[in-house]
Amino acid sequence: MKSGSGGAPLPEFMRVEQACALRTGLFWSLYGVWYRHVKVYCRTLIANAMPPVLEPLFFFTAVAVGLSTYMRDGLFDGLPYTAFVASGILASSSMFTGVFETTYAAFVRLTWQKTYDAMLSTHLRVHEVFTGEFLFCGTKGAVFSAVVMLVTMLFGVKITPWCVLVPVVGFATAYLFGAIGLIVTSYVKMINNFTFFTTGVITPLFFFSGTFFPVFSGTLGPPTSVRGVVDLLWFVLPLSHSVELSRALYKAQADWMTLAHVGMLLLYVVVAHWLALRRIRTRVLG
Amino acid sequence: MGDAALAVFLVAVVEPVDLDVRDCLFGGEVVLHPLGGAFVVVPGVVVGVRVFRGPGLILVVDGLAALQRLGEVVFPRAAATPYDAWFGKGTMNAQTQEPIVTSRDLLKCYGKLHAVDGVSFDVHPTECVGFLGPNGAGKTTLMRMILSLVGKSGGELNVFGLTPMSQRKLINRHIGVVFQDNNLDSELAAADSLLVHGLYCGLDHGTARKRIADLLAWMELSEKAGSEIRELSGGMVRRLMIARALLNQPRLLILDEPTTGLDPQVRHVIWALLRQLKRQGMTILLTTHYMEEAQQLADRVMIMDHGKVLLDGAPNALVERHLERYVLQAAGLSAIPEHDGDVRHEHAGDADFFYSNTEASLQKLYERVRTPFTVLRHANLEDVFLKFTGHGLTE
Repeated sequence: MKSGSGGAPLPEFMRVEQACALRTGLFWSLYGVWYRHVKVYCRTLIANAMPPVLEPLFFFTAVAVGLSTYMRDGLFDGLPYTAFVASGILASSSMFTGVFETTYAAFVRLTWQKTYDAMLSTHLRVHEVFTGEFLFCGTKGAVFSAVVMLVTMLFGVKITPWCVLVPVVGFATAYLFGAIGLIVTSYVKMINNFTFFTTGVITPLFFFSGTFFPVFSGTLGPPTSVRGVVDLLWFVLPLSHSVELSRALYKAQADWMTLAHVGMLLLYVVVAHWLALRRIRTRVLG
Repeated sequence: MGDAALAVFLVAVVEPVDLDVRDCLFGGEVVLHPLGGAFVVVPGVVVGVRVFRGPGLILVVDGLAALQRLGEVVFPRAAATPYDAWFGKGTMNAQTQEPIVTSRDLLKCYGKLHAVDGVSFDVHPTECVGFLGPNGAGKTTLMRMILSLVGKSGGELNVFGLTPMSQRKLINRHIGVVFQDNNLDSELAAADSLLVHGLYCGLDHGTARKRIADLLAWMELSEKAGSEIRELSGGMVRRLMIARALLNQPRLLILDEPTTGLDPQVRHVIWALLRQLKRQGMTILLTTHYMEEAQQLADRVMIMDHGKVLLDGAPNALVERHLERYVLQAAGLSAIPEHDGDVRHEHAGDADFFYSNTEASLQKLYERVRTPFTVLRHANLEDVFLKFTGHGLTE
């Protein structure tokens, strides 16, 4: 018989109604989406994970290991320069992994692979599909920040017990930038347009959020002086808070500013999440 | 269950079955009340059950009998919806003749373009309805509206008696869809790409894997379970997409141009599979621009153009109603030959069409205009299609 000619009987579950409890709650919907992304990502793990792991390490070796040989015993914000950069770079690598997932990758899923059509043709809702995606971004952020932390330890960077919370900072950072990336994607019509965002927004964030040098003077004052304006701008940047929080873990020190950073990070997460879902809804349900 | 106290969350008391429980974080079973309305029953605890729309109450009632009495009080409107008839408790196998899809003056506009322009139709259970139309006729938009992927601009649309978009969670649970483009996850193995879809549908891993194995066996694709999607032929991919659409035991199967771009052998295989589903009582909506496909599968076709339904009827009935029985089709004639009074002539591009109910008159004509490109044949659906959508390019 010719293959698939319809000679075989229909599967039993198609002929006899079988009671089957569907797991339609929010948790399982998010799990389904998250599982898909993990499965696809792991299928090509080496190709996917090499650049986001290697890139921060190149920066780390070039900048921290390379430059610090010229700095004698100088402490940056209370940390040796290698630890200072390591704590900054693990936050920025979480940012990159989150942003990439919901800009280029999401755009491909949206316009070419039509992955979201397949998801939304089931009972999944828009907010479940994309929250699941942010959770996957967060997962990647947690893993990559931990990897950066572990590898920089090989270069002699010392950690504190508080550094077990590094993956939490990585998770929140990647979740936030996953949501921000999706907001951008909701406006983008051609994939080339993302370069405006990556070069114009993400690269400056990478350099000026305190990753490589301390930007903040120590106290937030009124923006009456240049110093005050710079401090305030820095405080508004979404990456600064992740950098400062991971640095607080490396220093094992917390103060009122740390609490302010937690608050700002959470605020950004909530706002970006809400805005991203609102925007993407109109884009996918045309 | 009568002895155990049930923690019950009452949802949307106002509208019957206007259930919008976004999340039952810790599980919970949706029970449709026979009088219309819905409960989320969580044995034991109710923590984490939330309702986003409509009034909700947390009650603890003693057993199902009490639940029943309570329902009679809080759901005063005793209007059973078609959804109850299909999917209510204890009616899983019930047959009902209520239409599965009803559309009245349905409208979808993109700016000034009317993609769907005042479409009205019903789709009854076990029917196979084919939507025929040139590219851009609005077929795909219509399918996407049924799937809650596109909102309407006007008119009315009901699926299983419910409203798409706002009640997508209940509707899409019972629909399977085969999209026009391959949107399986090409990075994954065949079985895995079905598995993730099973999870989207809310199946657990075990049930999903069992169903996938059964479906692949049915489609004689079992040995391809581990192959990556990109290694499979177009026909295998299309069969996989059909398998994927069946994972959730749908009551309505939507196929958007299921055999476009496939070779004739594969098309016949897919038609056989679909006929098998049809015999099982599956309700099927299909869009196509292959007349043959419509004639092979559809009980009823709707010919669409520019967002409007031009014709609606059984394929053969449409041919009988709108055309003469025979057609003589000739290409490249230098002059229109004399013909009998009962022969109707139409000219399109470089082709001439002569229609008549008497074969003899066309036979006479055939002898005179015989060229390699002249054909005398029965009128078919394609002639009807071209008659109503025009012979010229519509794009």
